[in-house]
Amino acid sequence: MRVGVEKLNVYGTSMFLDQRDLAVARGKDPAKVVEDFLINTRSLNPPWEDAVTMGANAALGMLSEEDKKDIGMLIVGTEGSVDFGKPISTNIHKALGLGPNVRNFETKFACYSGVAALDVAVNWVASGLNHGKKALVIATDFSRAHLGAFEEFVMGGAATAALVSTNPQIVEFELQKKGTWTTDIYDTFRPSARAEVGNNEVSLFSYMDAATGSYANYLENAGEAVDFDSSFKYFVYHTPFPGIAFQAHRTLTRDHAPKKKQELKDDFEKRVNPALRFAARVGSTYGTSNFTGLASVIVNSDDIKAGDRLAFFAYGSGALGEFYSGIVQSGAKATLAAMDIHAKLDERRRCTVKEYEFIENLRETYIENPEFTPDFSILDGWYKKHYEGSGLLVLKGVKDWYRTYDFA
Amino acid sequence: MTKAQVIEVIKKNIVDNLDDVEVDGIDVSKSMKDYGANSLDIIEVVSCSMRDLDIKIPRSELADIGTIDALADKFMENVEG
Repeated sequence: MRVGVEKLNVYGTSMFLDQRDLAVARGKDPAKVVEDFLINTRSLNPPWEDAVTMGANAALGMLSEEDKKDIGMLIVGTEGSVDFGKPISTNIHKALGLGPNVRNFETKFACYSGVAALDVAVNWVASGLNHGKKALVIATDFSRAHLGAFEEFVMGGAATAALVSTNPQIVEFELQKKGTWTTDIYDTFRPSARAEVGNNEVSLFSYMDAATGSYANYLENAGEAVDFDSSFKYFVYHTPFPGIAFQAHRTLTRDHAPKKKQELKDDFEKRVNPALRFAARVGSTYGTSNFTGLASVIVNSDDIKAGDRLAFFAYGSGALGEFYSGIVQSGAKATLAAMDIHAKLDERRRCTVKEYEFIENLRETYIENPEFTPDFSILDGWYKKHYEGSGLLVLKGVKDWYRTYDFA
Repeated sequence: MTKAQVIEVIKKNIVDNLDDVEVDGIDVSKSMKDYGANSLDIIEVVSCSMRDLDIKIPRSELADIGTIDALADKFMENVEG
């Protein structure tokens, strides 16, 4: 049975902050900041968007009415849920107008949540217990405030929607080829509704352990010889910041296909960088990483073609790594071209550092606040200009803890 | 293997991975950060050194080790013979 991604979309929010502006404001070298992290701009949310609206808006831009009827399961992966009990899959289920028999739930595993959701969806479709239905996998995450902190340069967020079915148009997964590696560690975590804490260095080290360990397990499970250089046309690495993909590739290359410095750089540019272009525009891609990277490599590589094998590495702090692979399908370019992701990112509003600080401070006042209405008048009327009449989902308000979402 | 040999391996990898650092100029009581290393550079030095020394320690146990000397001590706990 063939199982994979039939449709895919990326929603990179409606605003952005240029990393060079942030670097200047914080007294850093703008060129060095961009070079180290490979982020040009990071996405920003106005206060009427959250994990629910982002996830819904990613799917709304992709699904036809026919698609909605075909969906039998909705899984939402996030580390930014708005409730500890009620899963945001219920909010999104309603916003998308899915039927009452659509099973839905939320997955949590830091940045692995999206691929955890994908795993379940793929297995459900492959099991044949899906009664011919498709699964919708949404990943949606956004940074918390880190004003003035070192890690402020690796923030961002995005949402992705992937339709998983037996009719893959973008990528077909190689179901037997998967490697997993896990350990119990505190690297980065969110112990409260406000905090996003941890030790970045431990996380980077653990990420490399997971890449090494999951790839070794992939080789054990692959069932055939795998050559690091010739088996994979492109690599889609997890991107808490795109710059880490270089280190991940260097780490695996050292063990499996040693190269001189320049050869490694050339290989990175050729086989890794095409998957990083959208991440360079939204910043940290959290649980959407593999989906954002998949969309990026299909849209931004010139020579990708049906039959090419893609390698994926997912990582979630806590921690777990997963290495798996898939085969590019003939409809990939056309299907993703219809989503017009670069153009949508071009429409975002550029915010100054002052505006960014204002928004982040305002958002802080909404956290664990049982009663508020987002201020729709801010940012020179951005709501009126960009949202009103657009059909995008927005948070209208919170009253006695109940959240109300509606279309703009 | 002696600690001096372990330090020699670490120093070689520092020189290989950082710009403008000479072996003789490395003070092991300092951190790699003092020589301009960022987090990714440190991971690379640690990984290459482990490969050269043929030792395997979870990298996450090596994060935040302050000085080059302390890193050598950690490696020594895992070096055979």
